[in-house]
Amino acid sequence: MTEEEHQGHTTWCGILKVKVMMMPGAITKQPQINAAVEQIIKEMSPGVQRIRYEIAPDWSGQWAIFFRVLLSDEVVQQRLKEIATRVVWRTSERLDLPNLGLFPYFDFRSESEQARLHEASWE
Amino acid sequence: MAFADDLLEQAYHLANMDSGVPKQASLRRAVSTAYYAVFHLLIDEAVSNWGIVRQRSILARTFDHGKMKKVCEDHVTQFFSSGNPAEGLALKNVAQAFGILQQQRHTADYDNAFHWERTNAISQIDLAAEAFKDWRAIRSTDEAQDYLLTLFLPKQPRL
Repeated sequence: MTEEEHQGHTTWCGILKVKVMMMPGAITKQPQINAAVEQIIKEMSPGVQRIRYEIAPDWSGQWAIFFRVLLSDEVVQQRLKEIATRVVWRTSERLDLPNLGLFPYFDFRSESEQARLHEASWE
Repeated sequence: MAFADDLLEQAYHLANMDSGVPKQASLRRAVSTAYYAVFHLLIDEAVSNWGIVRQRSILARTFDHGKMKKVCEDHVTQFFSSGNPAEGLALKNVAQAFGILQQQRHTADYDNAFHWERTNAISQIDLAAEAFKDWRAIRSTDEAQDYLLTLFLPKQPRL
């Protein structure tokens, strides 16, 4: 993907100058992303309970994939460093994120934090 | 203890300092500090190669966050496109952690809508700590030293 595709580009449309956001190729690869995410959950269960994700531009306009990783309380208390970093590296390896044109964000939360917050996007 | 190590320790301290529900300010500063720990780790390593000691702090100020991230992203892309070579894994992890932490630092510092939880903040610091570990395992290799050079040169050298 070119830098222009990343950032969207300005084009003339009739008399209006409009900003066109180009979608990254990854939008069409969601089945592969879903399969990779399922595989990672399977490998790391029960410590990794769920992984949700969304593809959207980040604060800078760069296309990104936002992973929300729900961890068991036991893992958070005893093996957070090991599991969190393994999730990051395994996901990157399985998805080859740079070639998907997506910048990865990994956010982690414990079961008990989610139980307190009840955020739908993490369910 | 080196400044970068102090920053990493400070990041953990900030993330763990509040009992009960932590303050957003503590967690945001913790994530931001974790990024700066890795930033200073790499800069300190790079300028320590400069022979004239009194010029090192001047050289350190020439490093640019955006350029460093771009070099890191290019390094990660190249790692994957060359078939994930095992001998390059630790350096790829350092480069990728740098990019991820820089973006998270922007979220922590500027995105007031984002809500941080302690687990998430500590996970980001853990990623920084792993980058320290990976870096120290490979720091004397030619690949690591060439990578340091690319972080601040105005044009990518042919190595």
